Amino acid sequence: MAIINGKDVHEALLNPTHDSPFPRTQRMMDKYFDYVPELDIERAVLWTESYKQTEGQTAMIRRAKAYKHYAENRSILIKDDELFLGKCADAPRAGTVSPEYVSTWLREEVDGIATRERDTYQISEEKKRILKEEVFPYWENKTIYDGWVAQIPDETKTLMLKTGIIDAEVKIVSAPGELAPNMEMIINRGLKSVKEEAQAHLDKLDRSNPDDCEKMDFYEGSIMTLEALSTYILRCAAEARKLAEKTTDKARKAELIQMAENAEWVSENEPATFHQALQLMWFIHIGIQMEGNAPGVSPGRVDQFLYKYYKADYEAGRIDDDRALELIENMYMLMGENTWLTSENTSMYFTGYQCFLNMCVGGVDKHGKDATNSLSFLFLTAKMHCRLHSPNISARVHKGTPQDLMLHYAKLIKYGMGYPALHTDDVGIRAMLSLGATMEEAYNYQLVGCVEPFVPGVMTKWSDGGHYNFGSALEFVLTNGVSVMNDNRQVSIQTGDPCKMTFDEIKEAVKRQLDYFVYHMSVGATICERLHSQLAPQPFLSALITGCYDSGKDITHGGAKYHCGPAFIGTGLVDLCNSLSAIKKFVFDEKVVTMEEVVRACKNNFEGQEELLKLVQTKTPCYGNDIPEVDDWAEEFSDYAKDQILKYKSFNGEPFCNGLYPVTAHVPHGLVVSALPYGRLAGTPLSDGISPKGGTDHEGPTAVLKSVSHVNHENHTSGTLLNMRLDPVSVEGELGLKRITQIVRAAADLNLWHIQFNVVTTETLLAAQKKPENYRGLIVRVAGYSAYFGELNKAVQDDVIARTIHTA
Amino acid sequence: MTHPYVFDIQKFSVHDGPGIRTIIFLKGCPMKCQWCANPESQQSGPEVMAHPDKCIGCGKCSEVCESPFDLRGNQLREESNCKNCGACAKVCYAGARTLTGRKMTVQEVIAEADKDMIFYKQSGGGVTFSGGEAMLYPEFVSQVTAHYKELGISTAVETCGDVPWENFEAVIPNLELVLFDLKLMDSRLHEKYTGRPNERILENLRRTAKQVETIVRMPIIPTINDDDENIKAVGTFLESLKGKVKEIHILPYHNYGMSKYQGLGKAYPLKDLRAPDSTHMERIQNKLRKHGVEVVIGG
Repeated sequence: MAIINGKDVHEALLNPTHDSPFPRTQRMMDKYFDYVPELDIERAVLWTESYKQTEGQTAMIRRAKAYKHYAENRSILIKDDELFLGKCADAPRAGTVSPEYVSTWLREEVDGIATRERDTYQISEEKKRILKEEVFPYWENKTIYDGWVAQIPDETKTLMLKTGIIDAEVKIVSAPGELAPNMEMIINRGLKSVKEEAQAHLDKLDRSNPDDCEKMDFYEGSIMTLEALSTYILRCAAEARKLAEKTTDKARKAELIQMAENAEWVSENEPATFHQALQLMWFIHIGIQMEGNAPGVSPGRVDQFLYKYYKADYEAGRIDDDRALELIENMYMLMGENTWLTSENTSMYFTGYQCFLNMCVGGVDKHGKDATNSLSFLFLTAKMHCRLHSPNISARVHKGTPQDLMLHYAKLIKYGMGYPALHTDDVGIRAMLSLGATMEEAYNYQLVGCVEPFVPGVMTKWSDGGHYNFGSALEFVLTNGVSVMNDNRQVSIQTGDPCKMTFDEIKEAVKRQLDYFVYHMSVGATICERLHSQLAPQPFLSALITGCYDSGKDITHGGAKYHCGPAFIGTGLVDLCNSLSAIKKFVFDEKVVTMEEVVRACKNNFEGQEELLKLVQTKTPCYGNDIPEVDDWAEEFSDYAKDQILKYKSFNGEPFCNGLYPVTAHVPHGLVVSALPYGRLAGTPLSDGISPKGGTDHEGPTAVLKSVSHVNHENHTSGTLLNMRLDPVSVEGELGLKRITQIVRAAADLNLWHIQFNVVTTETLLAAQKKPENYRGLIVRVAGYSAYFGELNKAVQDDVIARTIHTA
Repeated sequence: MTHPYVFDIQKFSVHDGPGIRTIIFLKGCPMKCQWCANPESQQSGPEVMAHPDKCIGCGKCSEVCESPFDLRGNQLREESNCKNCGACAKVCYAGARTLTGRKMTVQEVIAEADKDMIFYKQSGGGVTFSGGEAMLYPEFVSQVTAHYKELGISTAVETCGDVPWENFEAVIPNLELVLFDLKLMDSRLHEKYTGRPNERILENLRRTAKQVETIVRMPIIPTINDDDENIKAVGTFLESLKGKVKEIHILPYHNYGMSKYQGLGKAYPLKDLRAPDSTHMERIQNKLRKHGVEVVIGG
């Protein structure tokens, strides 16, 4: 046993095998790539049935009853080799239709969803008929989308509805997620104890008291959904017992009985074993998904809250590391089947069938000391073996992170899938403190979704409440508020004639445009949040968030201990910096072109101005090359946007937040941004997150990290994102592993929040683009998450290829 | 003090000394090795380089050039009597003509290398001078390396060794490591392929190895220095240093520098030469190992 920072980490864990040692995992992997995503309409049908029966009741109770109806009647699926019960959908990788969120867009898109450009779902004609006849008609004018479009002011609509300049669709076309339930609490206590707590609250209230009515609905709804989950769990167990009876395979029979016993036990109680703890964690995740198919629901620090179960099993001789690893791998295979259903528009922003389920390892404990243990290694090793796009694996880095764990991070990075995403504790902890968390809570931060720091179980924060882009802000300064790509419509405010401005006045005008964006985003978000509280309260999820039971309010009514955000996500910051750099150099400093020429070039996509295009493309000093003058604008404008965003308060009374990660928003935003002064052409992708624009960083990875460090990361409490592509050659061998750890530690010293690597050659990507069938398992880091390269649409593929590759 | 022209400052270098390093390439070299991968490093002054594939044919270069010769799309400058004034590079929108070599002060070099301080500290890396031949500028190199030595940052020089011993004496006290090139043991052949004999080089290597950690670096150039006789002579020489040199890096020849020759209007003498394969490199590695030194392929 190796002792790492005073904790027991088993020596053998440090040197994992390259592929899974378990034939079971291998068999499941082989099957996985044959699953074709389809639409799961069970929830839609059952939810609608229930809703038709509950007209006139409160939204809270109606949702609880619908949840119960779904739990009692949804189908149960158990496949060979699985060691855990429970599914998020009725088939592997199926997208669950949550009608109260998705009906409006799905009604229009259902006929084309099997053949659309990204994230397709198959659906039979019969299922289509059921949706069209039994589901969609009921939900007409009852969805969040319908309410939002009816309620937002005209100016907001002009700027935000289907323009692509600002996009807030994600929270009006699907269930909100980006949240970490209090897994530690629910696993340590079991479902029964939580139900009892709700009952105790309920017993103190009285229907005759007007203040109590809403609270009683909440507690009743919460108990109903918790009981419903227990029912579903027992139904799974019964099905497992049935299969056990049928099978002649003795080993499988024993497994199925074990699975049934585990489920029966955790339907009420605290888990007694590591296997049961994992099982309960999975059921809780499913329970949340049943309330609404949402992205970014994240278990978080699995190596921490599961450790005591692992340790107890290990010490009692019930489990060894091989068995623990096999269980984790099995869990990963099931998690990989969870999918988030998105609309055509939303899928542009979140391409790749991701559900953004995020788990993290490493970091510090409640005393601020290193928290590494054997499970930290096992959860990473399992990802080396289960090379699926999901779950998302994140890793925390602090000054005391043991080098052995850093090397384990590096080993996983070398697999090229983009995992783990690395996060700096100093930054994450300070970001959480700024949202009001206590020191101990902040130490316990995890990631939700992609790169968003979050204190589990005490917080709600839509870390993605909509996307805005800095590229449009600059465009509208050049065009005086006209969107070139939206048929030259006046969509934003007039900030004056750019040709009469000094350089500082141009910068000020960009800020005025950003003010206008932020104002309308906050208007849109508040209406959206209010609609969620009116139409779609969350009695189940709220049982797992501290503060809700104490206040008697669910999370949509501000019941959580900390209500933060929603966050607005900025994209194209780097395009703004590079554009300012070109304007300053060529118009103001060297005076080789006039502002009129720049404006004309941007409006006409540089047509007829090819020389100017070459000049700006070749000689603009760009962000990503450690040029402080340019990089400082990234700090200035990101902090400016953050300050504006924090001026406004959200529906539940707390300020909004800012984030600088794109998911894939830089591609659709790019579609609506005209050519920009540094030579980015109209319609092409913007820079992703705060990564340099692909091909403009030529000073190597250290210069990139230095540039990125100009952004004040801890100010952006919904996270920032840096993508870096490394040539596989430069990370070869033991020295290569060490080099990765050095880069990551230096990035932490520079107070960068996040860094993720793609270790794959351009040749491989190009070959995979041509023959995707030969590269089914090729996973790339897109932006805060990974996806199968072959399942991305060409625009996103091209963008991944265009990222500058760094060689040593 | 002679201020050198710097033709490149390369960040995140991991092959020229320990850790993550910044390499400062100075112009000017006493030798002209036929396999030189950085032909732009040989002359001490600035030089115009052409990149014809980037040319957009705008003709701005010809407008500003004193010579009547049409420079568009052109890579050979001999006929144009180029004086390396760099006027064409200044006006070239497309970056098809560049001026390589920038006079820099000690402070300017330090300011640039300081940018990656955080990476040196995390990785045990630092600053390496290369060239051309950095040891042609002992005062300059000595001032920069003294700055880093004082901060506890690793300092190294990569050298061909063909400079007066006094130059080494001036710089060595500030160095943690010397990467010393060794090409051919036969002085006559050495002169044939590099333009210089090797007696002074070998003597400098002997002395250097006694005073500072020294790694010998040997490019393996097929048909020129990879024969058994030369390899054996190298091994015997290293043995004679009695453990002062613990490590030799053998670097397989490559022709990546070929396009640079074209850009400079120079002929590439070895254009038909192939890179040695890994079996060949391993064979040489095994032979050298017999002389009691650590042999690393690449480095």
